[in-house]
Amino acid sequence: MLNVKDLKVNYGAIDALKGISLEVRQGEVVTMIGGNGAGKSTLMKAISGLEPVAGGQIVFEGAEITRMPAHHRVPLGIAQSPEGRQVFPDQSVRDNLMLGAYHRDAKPEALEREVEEQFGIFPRLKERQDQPAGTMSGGEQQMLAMARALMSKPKLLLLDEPSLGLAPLIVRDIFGVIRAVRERGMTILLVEQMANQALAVADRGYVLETGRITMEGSGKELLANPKIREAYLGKAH
Amino acid sequence: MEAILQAVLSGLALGGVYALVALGFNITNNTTKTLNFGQGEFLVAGAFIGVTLVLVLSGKGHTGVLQPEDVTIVKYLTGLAAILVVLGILGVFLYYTAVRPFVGAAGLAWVMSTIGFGIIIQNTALGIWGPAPLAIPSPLGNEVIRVAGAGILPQEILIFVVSIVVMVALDLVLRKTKIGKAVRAVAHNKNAAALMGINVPAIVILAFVVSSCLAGLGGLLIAPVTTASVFMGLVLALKAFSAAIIGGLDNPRGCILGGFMLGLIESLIGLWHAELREISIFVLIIIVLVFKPEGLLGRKIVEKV
Amino acid sequence: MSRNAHLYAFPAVAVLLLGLPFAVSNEFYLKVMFLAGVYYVAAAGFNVLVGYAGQKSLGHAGLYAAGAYTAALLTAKLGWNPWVAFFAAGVVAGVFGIVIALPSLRVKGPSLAMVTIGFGIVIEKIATEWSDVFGGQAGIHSVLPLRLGAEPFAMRDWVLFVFLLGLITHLLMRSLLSGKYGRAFLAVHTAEVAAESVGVSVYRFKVIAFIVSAVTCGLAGALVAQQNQYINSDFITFGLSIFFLLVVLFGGGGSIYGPLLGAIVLTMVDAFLARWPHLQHFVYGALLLFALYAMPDGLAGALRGIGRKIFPRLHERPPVPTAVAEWQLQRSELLHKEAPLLEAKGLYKAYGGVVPTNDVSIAIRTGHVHSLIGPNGAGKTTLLNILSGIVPPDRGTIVFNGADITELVSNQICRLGIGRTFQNLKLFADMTVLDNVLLGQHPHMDVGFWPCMLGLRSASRQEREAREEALRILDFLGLLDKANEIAGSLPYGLQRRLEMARALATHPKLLLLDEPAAGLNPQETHELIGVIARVRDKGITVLLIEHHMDLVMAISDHVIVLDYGAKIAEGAPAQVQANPKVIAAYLGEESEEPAAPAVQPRPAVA
Repeated sequence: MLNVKDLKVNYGAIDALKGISLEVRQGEVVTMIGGNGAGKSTLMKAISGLEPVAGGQIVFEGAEITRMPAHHRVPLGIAQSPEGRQVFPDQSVRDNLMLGAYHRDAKPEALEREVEEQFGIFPRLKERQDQPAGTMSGGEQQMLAMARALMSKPKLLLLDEPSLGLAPLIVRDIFGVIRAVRERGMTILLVEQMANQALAVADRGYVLETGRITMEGSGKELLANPKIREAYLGKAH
Repeated sequence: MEAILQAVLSGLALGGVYALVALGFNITNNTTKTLNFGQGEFLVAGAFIGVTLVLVLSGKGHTGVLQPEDVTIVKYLTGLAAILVVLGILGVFLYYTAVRPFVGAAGLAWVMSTIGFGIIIQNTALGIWGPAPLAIPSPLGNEVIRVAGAGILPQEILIFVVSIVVMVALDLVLRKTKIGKAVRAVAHNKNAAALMGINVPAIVILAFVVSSCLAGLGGLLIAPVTTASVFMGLVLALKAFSAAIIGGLDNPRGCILGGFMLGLIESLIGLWHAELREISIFVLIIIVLVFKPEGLLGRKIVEKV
Repeated sequence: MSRNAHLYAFPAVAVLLLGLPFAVSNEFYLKVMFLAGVYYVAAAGFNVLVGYAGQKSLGHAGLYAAGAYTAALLTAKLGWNPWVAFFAAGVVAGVFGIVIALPSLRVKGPSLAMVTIGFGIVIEKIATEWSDVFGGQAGIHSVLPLRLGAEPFAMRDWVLFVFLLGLITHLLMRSLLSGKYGRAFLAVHTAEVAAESVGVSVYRFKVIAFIVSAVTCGLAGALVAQQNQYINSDFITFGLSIFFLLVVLFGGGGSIYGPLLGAIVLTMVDAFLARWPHLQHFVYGALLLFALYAMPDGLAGALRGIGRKIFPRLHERPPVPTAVAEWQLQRSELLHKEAPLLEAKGLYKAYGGVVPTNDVSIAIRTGHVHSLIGPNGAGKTTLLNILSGIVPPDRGTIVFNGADITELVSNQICRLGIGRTFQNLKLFADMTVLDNVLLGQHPHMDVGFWPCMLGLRSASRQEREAREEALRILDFLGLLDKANEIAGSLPYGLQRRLEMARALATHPKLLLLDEPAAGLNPQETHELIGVIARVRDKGITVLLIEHHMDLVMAISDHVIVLDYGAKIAEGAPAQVQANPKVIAAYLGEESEEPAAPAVQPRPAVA
């Protein structure tokens, strides 16, 4: 479904992504793990069109989208829950969800049904539906960001570091939700720092280190590989 | 006592215009972190275009003199329509020439480019209409209405009513309609808005169009009750900006509150010592900026290092 | 212009200028020359504020007015000696400058622009309304002109006087701006946070720049009032403030010659369009936009580019020596090895619902290299910002070298001996490599304002010594051959090293490095290990934030781990690496859920 070929992204003098290639097939959960500064968010932004690309290609369902403006990619079926959640804090939970469906010309009744559906997956959001999103806890905002992305009826769901800044118990809940979404057949590209949980939920994984992919394999294989720990904490001293 | 009531009523009318222009500043500031330093000239342009259209519809040349019977409500409204179109276009033009090239560039070049743009507009207007003030009688007549002993002009009531209606309408649009929520989303976080499929550049242009139209509307409203000359723009815009600063530039309700407050303060001080009006306003601004730079209802911005 | 070129060019130009008025007898042309000189004097000072310090003031017509009315009132109403009145005008304008600057410079950007416009309008209103004192539109007559002996100045004398004044102003500004003050102003313009981190008190320098501009604009006003022997409120408009701004921007801010070019060109435009005032203003608006689009560096910048190609020798910077002595770091005090150099207790900082620093206590030992690590969002940069004075803690104390520094701001903390680099580079990108390091010398260059402006021996000596040390520091970090290059043109790895050189120039006892290896390739990262070791060997204590674990493990004596704003572990590198809490913080908990079914088994590519 998604094919990234030799992607290069620069921030001024810094080469954030130095030519990476990956693919995500329909129905898969693929994870990209790596430490800080590895380039994970840069990759997500490039796929969504928020970051200009210096070289390489992004192909989605056969169409090349490398230079397409961000707001045109959403109707194609790509939705993202961005790093740090980035909910609209002054608007209510409900309004945030409606904004997720912005690009769709759906009837109000259809949208209502879908909002209820999201509340089914994320019951905590239903309790707080009229609250301003900024008053919710980090975990609740993360759920909102994911639900909001789902409201656009995507074919590919991009999740950028859902565990960022969240307590371990909440992280467990979030990954439970990711599993539930996967059960419903969604294709997911998950970028994460928390290698253990990400690899446990993924079919396949890649390891990103300073802008390059250094390892790839199935979730189980990578989970068992001691080199993962080295990638984060350096070689044993 | 009547004098105070009179001042309050006039102040509210004046405040309405300040609030409209201040709201214009708020809209572009929230979406692009820039604002039009030439907004005063847009206000002047609005006034003059409106007056000219009424003159033309009355069969007089663009430097003719209007009699009260010439200014009918229909012509006034037609003038309004013309203003909205012309200023909308001017707003788009402003965005492309003076704002977009300099957004994010260091050195606040957009402040000076919008000032430059304003100067060009002012002098174009001078070339067309000359320096003399243009008089336009109010479409509602000039009979003073008595309220509890204080006198108020129908135009002043019109200004107050229109500005309240426009503000309420804008508030409703921002809070209840799909596009309003999209504008708020863009104002808050451009990237996240783009992720929703919102066309961010189009929304930004819309912001400038609305902002320019608000200034033009303000000009048309205030023209009948003031000496509308090509030179009135700067001070009016400064006062509106001051209103926005007092109330909080990033908060639309703050801008409205600030506008009315400023109108009232100016009017009341004018009662006491007419010549101190402007000076006291600017002294007030300086005090606010020193002690609470984010304004009464504004939010403190924390810079990330 | 290089030192030598200026030494020859200046007398030649001076002779030319002073001879010019004798060659011209047409009163109109003499008047134009007079005005060009007046506007040059005003712009030369205004340039310090707008072009160098980057503070856009749109109300300087008010300061011009202050000078003009002072001269007018003192001579016409109080009968003072015109020369004394002239100088008094400068002083009064300076005082007005202080009064306006103190509140205004607390705000930035568009708000500053608005406040200064406001001041300009207030002064205009006072001059217009308060007719008893200021004469309003009718103005003040019988202003006394300057005179030598019995005869008041004729037009030619005025031109000579103004040219002489201009030459003196040029020398003074050149002297002031080519050393410590010029660099500090430019630093304030480019990167305020970085300027504070090298000990430049940003607010203070903004105020100084404002006062300089106020004095020159005031003197310009006095000149016009005394030459016309008349002043009224028509002289002081927003248009005049814009004109001053235009002279500087169009001529080229940030250059000594910008105001000169701007003053000449614009005075001529002004004079020849004087018949059509509206066309005049229209042209100003158009020129302003033109300058912003096409010539952001103004005429001076455009000409400099051409001049460099035709006369390369004119612009040479002093050559860089190929070898210098080794850099020695003199310590005025000995630091105790036993007591911790820095001790922070119970630091707490919250932003709304987020708590990036939650009751953190750390102790930094003299002469050691400490590393601060932790997953994304753990609060490492916030902690560094608290220690370096950029962010005040809500609670907690910091004691550095025996002194409590909790309440101090950045530039004060720098002077006490803490230097730092930044995660997102904050170099003064438009300045040379050498100038960046010279800015680092700022906290211990104590030469004052007047010696700098008057070009006294003490100032030039200190400048020379600072330059020699800066070269030695560049050599220490392998950047000597790049000294005259523009900082922003260096490759990324060298830019990072330059920031470190700048921090070292402040003579830090403690050096804070925020992700020094970010964006470096493996080769550069490896070199960095050696660099940090050499820094430590100079007796400087180091605290660094890093994600590159190989670097951290290789260089650190002590590692501190943060997670969710709290310290979760510390100790020797190997200890920390094996600590299960630390592993869990980075990699997450071991998942209890069954692993996903494996897709096609593929060999792991290591």
